[in-house]
Amino acid sequence: MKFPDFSYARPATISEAIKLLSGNDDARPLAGGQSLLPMMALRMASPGLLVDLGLIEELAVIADGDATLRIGAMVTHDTTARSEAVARRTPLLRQALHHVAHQAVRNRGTLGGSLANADGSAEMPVVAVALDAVMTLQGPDGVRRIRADEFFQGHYTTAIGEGELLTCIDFPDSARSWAFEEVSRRPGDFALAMVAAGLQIANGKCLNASLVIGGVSDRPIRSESAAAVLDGRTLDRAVATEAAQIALDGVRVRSDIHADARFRTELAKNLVVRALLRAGGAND
Amino acid sequence: MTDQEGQLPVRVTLNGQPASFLAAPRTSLSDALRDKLRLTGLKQGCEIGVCGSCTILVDDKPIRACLMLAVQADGKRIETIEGLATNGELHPLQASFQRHHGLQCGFCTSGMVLTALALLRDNPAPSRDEAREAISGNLCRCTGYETIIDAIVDPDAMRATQVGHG
Repeated sequence: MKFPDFSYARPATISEAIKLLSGNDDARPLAGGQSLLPMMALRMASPGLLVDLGLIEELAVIADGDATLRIGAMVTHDTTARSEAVARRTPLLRQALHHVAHQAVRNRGTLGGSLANADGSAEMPVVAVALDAVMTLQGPDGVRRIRADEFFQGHYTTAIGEGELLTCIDFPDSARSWAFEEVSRRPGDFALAMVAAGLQIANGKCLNASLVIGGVSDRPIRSESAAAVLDGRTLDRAVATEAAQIALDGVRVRSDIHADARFRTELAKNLVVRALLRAGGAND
Repeated sequence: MTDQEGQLPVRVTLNGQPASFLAAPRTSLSDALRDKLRLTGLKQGCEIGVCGSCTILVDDKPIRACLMLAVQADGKRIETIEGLATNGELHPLQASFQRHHGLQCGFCTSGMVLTALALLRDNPAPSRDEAREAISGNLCRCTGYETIIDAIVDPDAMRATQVGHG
């Protein structure tokens, strides 16, 4: 179907964009358009004003900084996937990007767009939570920074406030070794379940583990109790399975046409085991 | 905003030649190419970014023309299937699709060929698996894909894409 009619603005600066977005409930920022435009074609969204961010150059920059790797909200998935700095500093992000849609979509789709869209089955929110990313939101009242685990508030729901724009995402360096695992019906489809697992191994023992599960709920789920059970243990299949059990315990796993809750739960547990073993250097 | 009043000028380099047209913001690039520039080699299947049949190259990269506004193409370099043949002679990759029976009804073909062209420019000698992954976002309901993979990894198609034919 064709897009519903809308007014269109193409600001050149962040402040102009914020001015256009604030005080207008009916305005939406347009990033890469790979989620919003299909939603408009399907009449699931019909914003009165689209504020196209495509000409704002400062949003499309990767800054290989001292403290963090900063990725502008409008950097495309393709650019991120090809970035040497990303490969070096956030290999998990690179691994996960491989699962994001198809090349033609990655050529337009952006990191900021994917995070702000906050689909519960999308990969980028899981990576952002796993890597303790910090989002910068710029609005009429200034700039604020918010951690990824507070940013995602439900399916398609984030902490972005009225008139605010997600401008960049900071990824702090991680001492952990990470692995990303996902199952989808076909390559490029949304995940039925996915897991990011990170840990360190010292003297053969597991330290500082971190586990984030996606696709099973309306937002990424970090399991601190599962990570804690790994602490000081020698990582093997039995220990990883124990952590997987704990990680899914009490999670209200969703059902849909692609997978019911029981199947999703089993998938997620298996992915936790796989991801932990791979992060720990074992050949599953 | 009505179609007449709200139209914006769009200037592009289309298959190596300058081209310009007016488009309302709501017009997709795929609609603009077909309806305004009469480049009907591009096919529209789903118009929600799922099928891949509207794939074209913008600044050398394959994109879904149905998920880009025509006005966003301003200043960009666009390649469509119409730009591939020279003097009525098929591009070697097109010839390879024909030779390997990489098409039947033809609806997905322009998107397939352009996706494959971008792959070969990026990766001059892809494996079958790499070719398969490259076209994984393009649906074909006729061929079963194997003959398309055959066409992409054909040595003549791979070689010719590197020299001259672009």
